[in-house]
Amino acid sequence: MKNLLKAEFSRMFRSKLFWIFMVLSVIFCVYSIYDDANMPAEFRQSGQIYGYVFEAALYFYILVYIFAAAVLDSLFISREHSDGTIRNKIISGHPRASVYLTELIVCSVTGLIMFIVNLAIISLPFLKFGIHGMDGWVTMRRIILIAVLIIVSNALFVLFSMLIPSRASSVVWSIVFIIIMLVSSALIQDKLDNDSQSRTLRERGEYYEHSKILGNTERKVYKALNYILPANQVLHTYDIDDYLADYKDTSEIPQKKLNIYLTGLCLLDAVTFMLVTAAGITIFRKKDLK
Amino acid sequence: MIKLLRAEFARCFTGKLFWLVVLFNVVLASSFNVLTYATTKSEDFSNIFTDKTLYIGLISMGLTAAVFVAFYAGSEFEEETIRNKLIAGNTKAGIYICDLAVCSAALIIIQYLYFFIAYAFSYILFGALHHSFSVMMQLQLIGALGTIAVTAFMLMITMIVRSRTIAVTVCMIAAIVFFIACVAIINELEEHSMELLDAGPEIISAEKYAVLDKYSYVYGVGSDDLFGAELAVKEFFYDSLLQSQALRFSDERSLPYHWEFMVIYNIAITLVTTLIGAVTFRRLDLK
Repeated sequence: MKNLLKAEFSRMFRSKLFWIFMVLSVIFCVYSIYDDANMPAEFRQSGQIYGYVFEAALYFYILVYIFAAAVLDSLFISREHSDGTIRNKIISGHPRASVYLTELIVCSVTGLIMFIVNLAIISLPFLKFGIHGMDGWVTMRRIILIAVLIIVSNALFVLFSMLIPSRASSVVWSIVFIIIMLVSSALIQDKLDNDSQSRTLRERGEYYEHSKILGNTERKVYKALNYILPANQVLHTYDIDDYLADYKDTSEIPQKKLNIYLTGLCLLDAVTFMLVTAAGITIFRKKDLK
Repeated sequence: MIKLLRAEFARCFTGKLFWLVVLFNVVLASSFNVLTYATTKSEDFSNIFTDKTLYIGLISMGLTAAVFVAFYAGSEFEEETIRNKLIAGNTKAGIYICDLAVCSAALIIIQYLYFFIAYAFSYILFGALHHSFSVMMQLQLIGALGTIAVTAFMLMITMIVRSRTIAVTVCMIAAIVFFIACVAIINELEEHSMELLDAGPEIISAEKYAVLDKYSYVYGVGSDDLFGAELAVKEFFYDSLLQSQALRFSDERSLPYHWEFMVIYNIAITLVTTLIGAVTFRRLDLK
């Protein structure tokens, strides 16, 4: 498997696809900083305001990255199907599980490298503005969650790409899947927000819409989905502490407890990752490679 | 060209692609209403208006067109069908126009199928809708012109790129970018019109203020934050992008303000992209 990994990493870093996405990623980061440069002069000196831009840049990065990963993984892996390379690897003695895991490792590491480059570029303005006003714990939790989500999203797209031999179909299914996940996440969040607002209005004795209040079981199901689904976690990287604390007052919750909640979330993602990968390897083992 | 058209229509309607896209849209059209029905308490049905679900087909038409056109027309390059058609005596312009006609017809059928299925489910499950049926049909007609414009744009990309995989990637990314741009532009112009409403007769004439008050938007009036060329470009996209048109259809109970411009822009985009695509395709060397 070491030889396989070396060969795949070499193929990835020599491919035009990787460098196109890397350049686009750098342009995206520079644009995020340029956005800040266009702020009125009286705000530009403040590290707090740049901190806000930094957090927003991280959030938009993961939103854009999941689409980029869908395309990159699909095009990178499906080429091996069309060229017959996967079949050649298996004929030369590599187990199917090793072939699958190699692709997964290469795509995940590529995603992490792109994220680190992005992080480095959007952190540069801190050399000028300093980091006073930034909450280091929140930023750290956000960065860890984004890194975990990069690995989980690659697991999902590698699953599609390994099982769908056609390059074009693989791209379509990956993008359609991520759109469906994001729309579902938005609908779930909408249900929970309406429920929360209606309950608050009911407690205050004000007018509320009865239809928007969820039953206890319904609420538990939606909340569970809100935490389990990676797309929901992506949408919540922005208000990560409120999300981890279930929208209770975070000033009363110690940092250690929030870190424990984050660990729980990462363990959920680890389970998702293992289930998706196990399913992918199982189906790939039985797939007929023509 | 008639023989080519017949052959292309037969290829389209007997192929798996068209029926897969139809199936996807049938599921989409029924699912929103069925989900709303399943998650709503029965005593609240009379308060549910599902007009917005009728236009989701148009909102998602960018992606639908990207997939359909890239697969339908893009496959011809990989299977070398285009070269065979040229050898058989067809012109490149003829091939291009046939592909445009067939893709447009197929996507308009899908658009109307989505609408009627969503309408049927809305009516059966919830009863009344805000929009009158005649208004909805007029909006769908404007939407059909928008569908042709989107199809022409996606076909232009596919015929220039000449690879199914790259075409589907570029077209889908373009559709997503246009959707995000639509939402951003609509939000920005809504904020702009709120600013104008608050400022009132200080910065706009009484006549334009009356238009703003009636339609919640008035064209060509700048504010401190948005004016000049930037405003003109954003108003152009506000009227011309199909997703923007569809989002506005879902919000209004009658024909939206400036609907004539939507029609003109749809026709203009179709003509311009077809011209660019056909001229570029004619000059390409098909190896």
